[in-house]
Amino acid sequence: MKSIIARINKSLLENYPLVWNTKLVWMLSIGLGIHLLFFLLGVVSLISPTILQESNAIDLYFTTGMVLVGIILSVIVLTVWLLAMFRNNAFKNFYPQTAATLFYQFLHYLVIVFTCITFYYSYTLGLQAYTAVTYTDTRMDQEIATINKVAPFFTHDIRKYTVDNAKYPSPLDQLYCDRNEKRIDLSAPHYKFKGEYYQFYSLISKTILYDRMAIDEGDFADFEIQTAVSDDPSVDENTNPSGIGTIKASIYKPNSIDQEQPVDPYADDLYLFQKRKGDSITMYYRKAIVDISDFVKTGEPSYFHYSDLFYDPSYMPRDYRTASYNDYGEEEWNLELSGLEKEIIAENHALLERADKAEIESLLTDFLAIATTYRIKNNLTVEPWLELVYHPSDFRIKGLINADNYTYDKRNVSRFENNAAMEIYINEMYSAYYLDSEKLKTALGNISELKRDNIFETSIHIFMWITFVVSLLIFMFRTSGLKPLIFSIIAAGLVMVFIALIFATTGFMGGYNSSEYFLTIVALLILGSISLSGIFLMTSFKKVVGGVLMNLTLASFVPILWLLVILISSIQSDACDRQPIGESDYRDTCFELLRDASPACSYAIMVLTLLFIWMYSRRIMSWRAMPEG
Amino acid sequence: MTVFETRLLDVRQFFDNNDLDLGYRRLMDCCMDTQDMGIYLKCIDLTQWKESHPEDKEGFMARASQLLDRLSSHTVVPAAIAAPVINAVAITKKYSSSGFVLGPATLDVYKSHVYGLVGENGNGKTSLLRILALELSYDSGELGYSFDSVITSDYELRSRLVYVPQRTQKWYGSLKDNLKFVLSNYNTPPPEIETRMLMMIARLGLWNYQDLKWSELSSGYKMRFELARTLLRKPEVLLLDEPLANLDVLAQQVILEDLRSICNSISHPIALVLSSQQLYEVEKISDTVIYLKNGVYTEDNQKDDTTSDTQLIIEIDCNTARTTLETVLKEADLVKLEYNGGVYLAYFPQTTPVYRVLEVLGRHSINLTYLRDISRSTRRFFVS
Repeated sequence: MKSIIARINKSLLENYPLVWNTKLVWMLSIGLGIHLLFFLLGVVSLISPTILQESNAIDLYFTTGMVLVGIILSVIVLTVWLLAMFRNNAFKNFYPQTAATLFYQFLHYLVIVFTCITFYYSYTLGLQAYTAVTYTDTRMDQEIATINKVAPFFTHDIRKYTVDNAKYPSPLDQLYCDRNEKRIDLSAPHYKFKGEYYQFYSLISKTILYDRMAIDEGDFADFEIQTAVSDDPSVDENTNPSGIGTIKASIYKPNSIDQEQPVDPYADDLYLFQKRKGDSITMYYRKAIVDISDFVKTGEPSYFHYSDLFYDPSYMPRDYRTASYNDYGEEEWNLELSGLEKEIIAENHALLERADKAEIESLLTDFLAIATTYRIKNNLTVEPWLELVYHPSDFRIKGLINADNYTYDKRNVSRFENNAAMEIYINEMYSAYYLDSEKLKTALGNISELKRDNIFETSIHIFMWITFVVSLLIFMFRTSGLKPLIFSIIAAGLVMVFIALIFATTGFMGGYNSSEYFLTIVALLILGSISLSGIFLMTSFKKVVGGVLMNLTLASFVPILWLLVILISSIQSDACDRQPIGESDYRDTCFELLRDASPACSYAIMVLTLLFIWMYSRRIMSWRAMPEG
Repeated sequence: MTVFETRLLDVRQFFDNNDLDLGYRRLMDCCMDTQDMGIYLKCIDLTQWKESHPEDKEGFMARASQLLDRLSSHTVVPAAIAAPVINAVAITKKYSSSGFVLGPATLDVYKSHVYGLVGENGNGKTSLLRILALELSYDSGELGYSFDSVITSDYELRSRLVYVPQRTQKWYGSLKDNLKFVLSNYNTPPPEIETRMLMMIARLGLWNYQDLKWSELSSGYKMRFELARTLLRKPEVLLLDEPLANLDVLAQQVILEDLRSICNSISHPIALVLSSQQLYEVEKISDTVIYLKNGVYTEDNQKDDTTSDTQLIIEIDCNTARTTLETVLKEADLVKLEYNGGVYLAYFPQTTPVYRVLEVLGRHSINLTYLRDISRSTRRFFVS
C-alpha cells in the first residue's frame, strides 16, 4: 500500500506538480472515504423505525450530533491538508507559473474544501437511500391506504366524531355547521348532544381583490372595489356573472395584511369566516338553514361523521398550509376537500354502510401489523378493538382510545370546558387502550419527506458560499502571504465600520428616509472604489498596501454583485408596486430578481466571481513580481 | 581541440595526479554539460558505486575512465556568453531612515563570470544584490536584462533572477520531493526529473544526505541543498548573498570551486554574483571583485587612489619589533610601514618585486607568521 501511494505521489509530482502540491487526489480520496462512511452511517441510522417517529427525520444529521462529528472531521482533515500543502509554494518561490495555474490552484481549493465540509449530504443521502429501498412506493401506497381506512377507528378525539364533522354524502360538504348556541334557531332543524347545539347552513361568499396602489396610499383608504359574489363556493366567482355587486371595503395597512390580519369584519352578523388566496380574500356568509336529517343517521358522535384524512401522501412535515380564520378563532372550516379526502371519506362511509365485521376485522389486523412494523406504541388487539367500534346500526362512539400511553387525554375536554355534561361524558368514554397514532403520522411524513425532499435545493448555496469564503482565505494567504492577509482583515473591518458609521450618521439625520436605495448605493460606491483601486492601481503602491488592496478586491467582488442584485430587486419591487391592479395575480406577472431568482443569482454570481478571479490572476502575478521594498 | 575536449583532458590529468575528488567533480560537470540522460545515469551509478566502495580507488578510477571514454564521443555546443545578462547603469538607492545611499553603481554581468561582492557590513552588498534580483526597488538609474528567451511578464523576469538570501527558509517534507518539485514546475520532462535531481545531488556532494530531513542537516549542507534547488532552476543569473556564512574553511573553498565550475558550464553558463566577507576565498575564484564602501561602488582596482597601480603592498604578521622590521625592509626600498593593531602593511615602490622583500626578511632571520601581497586585493581597503 505504501509503495502504491509512493508511486502515485511520484507520478503526480513529476507530471502534475500543482495536483501534487494541493494534494487534490489524496484529499478527494480521503473526503470521498469519509463521505462513504457518513453515507453508511446515514443508512444504519434508520434501521430502527422508532427514529422516524421523531419529527424532521431528514434533519437527523443536525439533531443527533452527527453535525459535530462532521465539523470536527472537517476541521481535522482541512488542517492536516493545509499543513501538507503549505510545505511547498511554487508561486511564492517564483517558479514558472501562469495566471491559469494560479486560477486552477483556487479551483483545487474549492473542490477540496467543498468535499470536506459536505458530509451532511452523504449522511442524508444515506437516510434517503435506506428509505427509498426499504419503504418502496408500492409498499407505502398499500400501507397508507390501510392506515387511512382504519384511521376513523382510532377514536382519540370525540370532536372528530360529532355531527358537525359530517361531510358525506353531499351536500354536507357544502354546508356550514354553526355551534354557537346564541345563534341557534331552535325553531329550525338542529341537533343537540350533551348540551352542544349543531345547526347547518348553506353559504354565500364575496371575494375582494386587493389594490396594491390603494394600499400604498395610506391607512384605511376607502375606495370602490369590484367584487364577485356567488352563492355557490365551488363555482369560480369571477366567472359567475350572477350576483356581482359593489361593496365598500376598508383596507388595513400593508404590513397588517402581510401578517395575515383579517380584513375588517363587516358589520353584517351573517358573516362567518374568510379565506385568503393570493391577493384575494373570500368572505363567507350564512344563507339559509338546512335540514340534514336525510343525510345523517344520528346526531350523536358516530364513526359515520368522521371526515378527516389521517395521512395525506402529499403531506410534507415542512408544509405550512395557508392559515385562515373565522370569527371564533377555531380551526379552519374546510370547504374545499381534496380529491383524496373525498375518496377516502366516501370509502370509509361505504365500509360502515356495508357493516361487514370480517372486513373491518381484517383491516384492523392489517393495521396492527403495520403499527408493529413501525414500532408504534399501542396496547390494542383486534378483538377488543373490534368490539369497541363495531356497532352496525349507526356506528355510534362507544369508547375512546387514548392517543398515548401516559394518561387519559384531557385535551379533548378543553373545547367543552363550560359544558360539564360533555366533560363527564368524555371522561366516561375513555377506555384503557392507547395508540400513538401521531407518531405513525410523523413516521409516514418523515418517510415521504425523505423520499421526496431535494436536500441540495437550498443548502447547496450555503455550502457553496462557505466553500468559497474558506477557499478565498487560503488563496489570499498563499498568494499574498500572512502579513498582507492580516492587514486585509483589519482593513476590511475598518471599511465595514466606516460604512456602518455613514449609515448610522445618515440614519440619525434622517437622510436615507428619502431614498431606500441609499444604503445599497453607498456600500456599492465604497466597495467599487476599493475594487477599482485593486484592479488598476495595485502596483502603484508599496507591495504590502498593494497586497491589501488585492485581497480586498478579491473579497469585495461577491458583495458588490449581491449589492447590485439587491439594488435591481429594489427597483423592480418599486416598479411592481406602482403597477395598477390587473386581472391576474401580480406576483405571477411581476418579476423581482432577488425574490424570484435568488438561486440563479447565487449560481450566476459564483460563475462571475470565478471568471473574475481567473482574469484577476494576471494582476496577482504582477503584484507578486513587485519589489519587496 | 574543443573546450569540452580540453576539459575532459583536464579531468584525466586530475585522475592521473591522483586528485580523485577534484577530478570526479569536474567529471560530473562534463557529464552535466552533455545534457544526456544516459550519461547522467552512468554518472549516478558511478556516484553510487563510489559511495559504497569508498576505499576502492582503483576500481573507481577504472569506472571513471570508462565514463570519460564515453564522454569523448559527445559534442557539446558552447552557449553564447558575449552579451551581458544584466546591464546596470548608475543605479542608486537611498534609505530615507538612515540616510544611507547605495551607488551610483554601473556594471555589466556576463555569463560564465563570477562577481565577488565584498565590503564591510552595512555597506550595501545585500541591497545591491536584491536590486539586481528586483527584490528591492531602486531610486534612479537603469537596469536591463537579456536572457536566452523573451520575457513576457514581470513575474517571469523575477522567476529568471534567482536570488538566494543569506538566511534560507526551512524546507518542509522530503528533500528530494522539494528538488523534484522545482524540476516539475520548470516543465522538465517527467522521465528526466529523477535523473536530473540525483545528478545534482551527486554533483553537490549530497548523496549521503538525500534521505535526511531538513532539521537533520548542518548549516553547510542546508546551503548546499539550497544551491542544488537553485541550480535545478537552470538560472542564467545566480545572485547569492553570503553563501559562505555558515561554512567551515574547507567547505567554503569547495563550494566556491564548485560554483565557479558549475557557472563555467559550456552548455549552460551562469552569471554568478555573490557577496561574502571571505575576501581571500572570494578573490580567488572571482573574475571581478566589486568593493562597496559606504554604498560607493568600486570594481577591482579602480579605486580612486591609484596606490595599487604604483605600489607593492605587503601584509606581514610577525613578532619582530616595528623599528627592527622597518630597518630591515628599508633594504627593499620601503616607502612606509603601517601597523593596524594586528598586522603590518609595508608599502614599496612598484619596482620592488615580492621575492626581494622575502629575500630581505629571510636574510635577517625574521620569523614570519603570515605574508601576503595585497597590492591587487580589495583587502587593502579593509586593513589600511
